[in-house]
Amino acid sequence: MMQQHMLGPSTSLGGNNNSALQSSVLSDGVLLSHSQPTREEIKKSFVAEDGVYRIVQSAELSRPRPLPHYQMAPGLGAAANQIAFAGSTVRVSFLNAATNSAGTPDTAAGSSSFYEKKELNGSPTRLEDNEDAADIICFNVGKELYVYAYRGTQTDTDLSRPIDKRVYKGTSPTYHIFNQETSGTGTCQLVIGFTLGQLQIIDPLDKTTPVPTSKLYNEDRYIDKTSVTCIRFLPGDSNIFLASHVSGNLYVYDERVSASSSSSNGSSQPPPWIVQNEGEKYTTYGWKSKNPRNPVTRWQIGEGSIHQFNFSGPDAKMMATVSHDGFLRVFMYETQELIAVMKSYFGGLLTLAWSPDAKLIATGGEDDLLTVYSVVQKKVVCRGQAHKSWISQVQFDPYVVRRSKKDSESNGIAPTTTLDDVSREVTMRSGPSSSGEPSYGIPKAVSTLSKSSLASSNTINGTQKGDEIVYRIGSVGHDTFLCLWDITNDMLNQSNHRRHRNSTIIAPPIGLDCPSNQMMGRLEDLPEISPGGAGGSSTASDSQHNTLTQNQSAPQEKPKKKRFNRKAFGLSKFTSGGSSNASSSGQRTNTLSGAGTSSDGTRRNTPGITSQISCCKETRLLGSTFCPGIRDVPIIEPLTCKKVSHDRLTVLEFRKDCVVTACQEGFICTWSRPSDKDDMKQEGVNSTAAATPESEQKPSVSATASSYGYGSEMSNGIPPSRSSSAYSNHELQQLRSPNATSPSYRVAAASTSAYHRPTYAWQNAN
Amino acid sequence: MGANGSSQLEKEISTTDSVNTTNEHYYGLVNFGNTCYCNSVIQALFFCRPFRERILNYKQTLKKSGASKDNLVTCLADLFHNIANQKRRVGTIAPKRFITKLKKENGNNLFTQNSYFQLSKDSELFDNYMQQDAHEFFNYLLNTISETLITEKKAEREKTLRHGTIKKGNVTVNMAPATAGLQRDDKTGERNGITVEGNDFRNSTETTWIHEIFQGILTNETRCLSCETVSSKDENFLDLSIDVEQNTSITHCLRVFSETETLCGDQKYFCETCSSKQEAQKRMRIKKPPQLLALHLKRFKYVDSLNRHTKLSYRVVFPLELRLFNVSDDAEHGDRMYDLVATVVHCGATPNRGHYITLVKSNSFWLVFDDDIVEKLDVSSMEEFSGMSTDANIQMPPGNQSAPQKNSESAYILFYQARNYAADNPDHNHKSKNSTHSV
Repeated sequence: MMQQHMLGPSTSLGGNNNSALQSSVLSDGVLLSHSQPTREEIKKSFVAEDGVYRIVQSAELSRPRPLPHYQMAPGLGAAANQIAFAGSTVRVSFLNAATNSAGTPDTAAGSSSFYEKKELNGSPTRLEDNEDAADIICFNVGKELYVYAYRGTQTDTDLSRPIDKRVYKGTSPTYHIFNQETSGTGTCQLVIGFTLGQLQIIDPLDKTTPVPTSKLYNEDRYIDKTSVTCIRFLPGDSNIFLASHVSGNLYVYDERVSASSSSSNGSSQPPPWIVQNEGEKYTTYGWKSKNPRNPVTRWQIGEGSIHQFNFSGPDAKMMATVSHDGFLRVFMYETQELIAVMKSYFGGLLTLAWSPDAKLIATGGEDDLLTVYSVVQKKVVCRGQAHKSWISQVQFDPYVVRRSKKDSESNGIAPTTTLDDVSREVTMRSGPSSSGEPSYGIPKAVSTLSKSSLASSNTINGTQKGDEIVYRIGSVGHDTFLCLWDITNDMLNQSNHRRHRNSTIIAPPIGLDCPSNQMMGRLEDLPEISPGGAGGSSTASDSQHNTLTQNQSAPQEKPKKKRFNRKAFGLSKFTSGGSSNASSSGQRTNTLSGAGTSSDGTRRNTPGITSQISCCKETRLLGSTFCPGIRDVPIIEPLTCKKVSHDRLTVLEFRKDCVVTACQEGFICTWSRPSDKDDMKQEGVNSTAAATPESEQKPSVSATASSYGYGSEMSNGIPPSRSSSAYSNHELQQLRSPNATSPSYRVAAASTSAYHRPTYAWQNAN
Repeated sequence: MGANGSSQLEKEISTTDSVNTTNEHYYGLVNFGNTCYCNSVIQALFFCRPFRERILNYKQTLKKSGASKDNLVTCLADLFHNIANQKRRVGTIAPKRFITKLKKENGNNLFTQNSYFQLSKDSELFDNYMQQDAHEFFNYLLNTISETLITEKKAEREKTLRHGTIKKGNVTVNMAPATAGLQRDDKTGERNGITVEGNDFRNSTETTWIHEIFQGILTNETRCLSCETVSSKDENFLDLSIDVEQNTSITHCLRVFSETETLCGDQKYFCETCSSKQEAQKRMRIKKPPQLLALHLKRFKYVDSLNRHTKLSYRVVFPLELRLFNVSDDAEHGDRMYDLVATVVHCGATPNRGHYITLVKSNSFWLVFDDDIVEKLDVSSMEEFSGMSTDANIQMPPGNQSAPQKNSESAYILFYQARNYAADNPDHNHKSKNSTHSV
């Protein structure tokens, strides 16, 4: 298709594994977005720092009937799927092939009890020959549940031949999860939760048994009448799974214990729970009797629905929950002790994800904000603003290569990563762990990092940990957008500043002249501000930096004096963006890095003052570390932010070879990651590119030609002045090399902001 | 159905809020033929506590003063009083007097004198397309109440002026019995404080408790692109009308509301510094967030191609808690937390036909008021009132609209109440008292 065609050139540029990629990636973005100027258009590819992610249309899964939505007019496609709207949230679960090989299929297993009726049209599939290599995917749409073979980007499934399909009556599946550990040849365990609160365990692969194994929990709804929101297996014990409900309860089930409901004595009273532990806004209950019965344990947490919960890692040391009351709670699972609490800026928290090393938790919710919380430091690290609506799922991407620093290549040092580096990195990461902290980070980090070092042999610079990107976070939301965010070590440090290279990259509010620009308000509304503590431990480079920017930031010092307000406000509004304002642009272009830093500096200076003031007003919880004020925590911007669906997105999964998204219409999309092939090409291109600044210009020139900035992907506003900023980037490329050593990151950061600060920076400023 | 349903609700309520013994009454309002626009707004306002308290106070003062008035405000006060003093907690009531009064006062051209709704050239059409727009009625009601109060105050002031010497004694006499006679001392004191204050400096800007509750200040900042001068102008509002977009949140729509726009071409801005028309950038942010933030979602849009108003059933999600992002830097209480207390929902795919219902938070649970029917609502199903996520609504041929119609229940007016209202208010009251004395 045309799309593909247009993407051609960027393919060779995207997927850039080399760390010199800042500019080239950016220009890729420019290229890409150029091909998709239309508003509301759904993106089929997007660029992240590590390359181009592309949708694999052949791998799309959905209910058998509807056509893939790319072939339909948007409106009609949506209308055709009315069913999905009222139903429960679409979820996707996977069973990885490593532990599974498909067994012999059989035609319809007899219908199990319960509300379900089996397989309408066409007999269940015969598994094909090579089926055993495939993973299994399960998803629910409305009252239906489908199980297909899944091969990542290679998926080419005949939708009319699911491995299993179930249609439920009177209740809809809301959540499901495979037991990765118990699955074997031709057998697996899938736990499904329902809107009416029941839980069912089925084996979708098992077609041999005349009566398929199906266990039911909470069948008569004595335990809980409300919808199941989330299910997890207890890491390390495949017999135990936990299910959370809208009621705010979380139940622990042990499969070894009889499934039959506890109140078999005929009484319709809720079972007599005995309090085990009590803490602030949570209680855990157990049974008095010696004979264990299901559910084994009950946690009552917070107020309102527990939307999601998850364990910190394979050791199941910690369990985190997010609730409708807006609280993230972290418990020591064994001792049932509450160790950390965070409150959303406002509204319920809908999703959470643990970082692979279990140090951070990312949450998303009804404040449209991504919030990154450090479990180690017990504070909010940063907030991310880009979504236009509630965030329905966040995930850490454990596979994204954590490499790349500008310094390394500008140094000319691009040391091959050795295991040393990796382990050092790991040590560093797990270093601060106190006794209460997870030790789990180590194995995971090793695997991630060693993978990265394999993928690109020259990227991790062992010498500087400072600004490495440590985490990649993805988020999807009700706004149909997918965002990727990078968290650098800098952001994690106490003394961090507002210089988040990757997060600043896509300063979206560009098109002033585009009134419908949705993202535009973002920056102006939310002063980007460094944490209040920023001043505390400023480094030498800081002060250096500050000197650089002093003139620019000087006017900002007074803004909070009463009468000055308006004026100072005006200044701050306009100065920080000044670099690109019509009046001052000429002057600024000459000193681009200066301009960049100045906006950086401006931002950095204002907040301290503001936060002091706002702190006084805060009442108890709000404004405390549980829920810092909006100015007390850095606001980051996403690396990329794309509309990828017609309907709200409900699922985001990072897999080794692909990224999976799903929307409420029931379309499951697979996105290929930047491939190694691309990388190879990439490296070729890049090495030449890196060699001379001239060749660097190549991508940027095309960027200039297609002056649709990154911003257009988010904002559709297309400022004509893009080209000049693209130009500025070349300058910065050159600037960077003399500055190659450690503090250069700052320059780099500045450069990005110089590049990205939109021309009409008003809305960015302040 | 009614009786059965209400007893069911009664049972549910008694089981849920046994702890919280606030004696709330949940009364459905009888529909007198297309009066759901009215019923829905009244219910929402009834559950906006500050509003209800003031209305009930009004009734009480009126009773005390012995004056018998008959206007829309007294009718509303009687209605509220009736609901609040019913024996049973759940039931149905007929707002007959109020509706009659409303119709009588407005004749056929209902609401056209509304000064807040800028209909401009659409106003004629507006009459046709939706005689019963809940938002218009809301505005009309607020304006009528505040006008009535102002008139009464003026009358009172004249009276006081005539008997100028008695004034001081009058006030003290007023205070004492009021405090003694009412349960809610704080409210009474505050109310009296305002009455006192009203006597003194109402001359310049007439404000009433309507303004105290609903009024916020927008600041309109314009920056001349030529001389960089920033000028700002403040503007009062009783509610905000917000443009909606598909698949967004109210938070986002508010942000868009405060986006920067560039004035160029015909719209150039006259800059006083430059003494000429210049290109400028403009944005509007909230300088003073009101106690009760009423957000009107502009779901009724005139579509040129269709030559009629269409309903935008866009899915705009609204959280139960809200904080504003689009406040100006010098805003007081800029980061205050709001709680959703009531929502007027429009049901139906077109503006002409349709129905209004109200979702209301009372104590710890949510209720749906559908004219005379009152039901409990599960919080988790609030999201169903966000609208539809399909883009199909407008483009689809009329015949096909039957399908989405079912799901086109979409929030139309949101009432967010600032947290710590009670805590804030004495403070505020105190201040106003002080200023009164100093003046």
